[in-house]
Amino acid sequence: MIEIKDCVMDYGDKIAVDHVSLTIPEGCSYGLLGSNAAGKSTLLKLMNGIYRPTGGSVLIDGKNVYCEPSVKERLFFVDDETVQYSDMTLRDMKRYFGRFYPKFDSALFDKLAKTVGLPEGKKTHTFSKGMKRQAVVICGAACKADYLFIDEAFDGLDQTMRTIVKNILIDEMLDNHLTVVFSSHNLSEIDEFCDRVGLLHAGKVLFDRELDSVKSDLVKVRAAFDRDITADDLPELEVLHIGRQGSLTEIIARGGAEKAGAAVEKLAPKICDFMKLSLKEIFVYEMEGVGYDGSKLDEE
Amino acid sequence: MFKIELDGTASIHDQICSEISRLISVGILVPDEKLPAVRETAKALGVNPNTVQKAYAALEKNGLIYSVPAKGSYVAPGGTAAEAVRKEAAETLRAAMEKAAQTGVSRGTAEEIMNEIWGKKG
Repeated sequence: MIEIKDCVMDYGDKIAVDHVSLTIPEGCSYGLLGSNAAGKSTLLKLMNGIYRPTGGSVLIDGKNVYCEPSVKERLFFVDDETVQYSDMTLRDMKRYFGRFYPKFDSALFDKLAKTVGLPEGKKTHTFSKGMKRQAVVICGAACKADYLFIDEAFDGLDQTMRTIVKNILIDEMLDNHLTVVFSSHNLSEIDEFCDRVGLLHAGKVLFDRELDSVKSDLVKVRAAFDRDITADDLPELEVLHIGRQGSLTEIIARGGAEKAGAAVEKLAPKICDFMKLSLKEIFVYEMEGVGYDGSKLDEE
Repeated sequence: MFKIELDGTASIHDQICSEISRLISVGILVPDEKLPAVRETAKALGVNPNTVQKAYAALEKNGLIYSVPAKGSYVAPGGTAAEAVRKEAAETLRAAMEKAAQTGVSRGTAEEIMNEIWGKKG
């Protein structure tokens, strides 16, 4: 279990992580979402004990990740930056990580390197961005860590490599209770593979919930009434948005389809349709609900 | 294998549940047939195994499937699964009919449709 307790990361000129508290259960596949500069990478580095928080602490299975080196052999961080390995060949990386990770699987490393066809004897600074990324992902898979952190999720990996990585994650989740934390600004990736999501904005966690409950809570109803309907007509619901498109009224509310259906039916709509919300719409409305403009979330 | 759309509208959990009930209702999955393992399904769909596990658990709760520890999940025997699927289908039918009635579809039209589907015997 990862426990982030009231964490602050103040770089002096900027507070990147602002009093964040978050718990990620063991065996979870967690998606950390947010626009650029939301604080995702900093939070990942704090969870890996790379940075010392200027306030608060991060515990992994009860141990402070910054202070206790013994925790580190149980974590692997697939950093979006790979400059730290520029002077290493793939062979060097295998030796290097093999020394630190007790469960390092050399056979898996070789198999993966062969599958993607990376040269073993060339220094990684000669690699393309995608190749560098593949090299680090291969190391991450072979280290057999209990906690895997992947910055920018499956960025830079082609479809074949994505499938291979996902299959490894699936095996590790089922066999060894692997906990995996992705950061991403790509909602569909998170949607496919995560069971819990956290949304980060300007260093703060706007919300942190089970993906299924997020999806079943918010509803979109499109209905036609013979008069103007406002949120006051629906006191049973927490209405996030109400708007008109021609003769149709669109209502976005919290509380699940059943409750929303009953409330809207009371107003005797001429027609009433339930629309499904995409994950993107959900985030936009959740963010608006706490006073942010969520419409730019998915943009680079 | 199951057909799932990863377009982010219906949740993957719900899609797995409805796909399996559909396969049971049309008789592609028969009583006591073994379902694909959680691992296999997760890999084939490229989705989180926890989600597949939760979907299987929900189906088991509704009586559509049963599980044998360390062996896997199976389609419920003796028509239990089919009965559960029928109940679900009847609910969907009711919702569709309510909507039809609201939008002004006449009883006559509804009966015509019923006759087309069930024949005139019933």
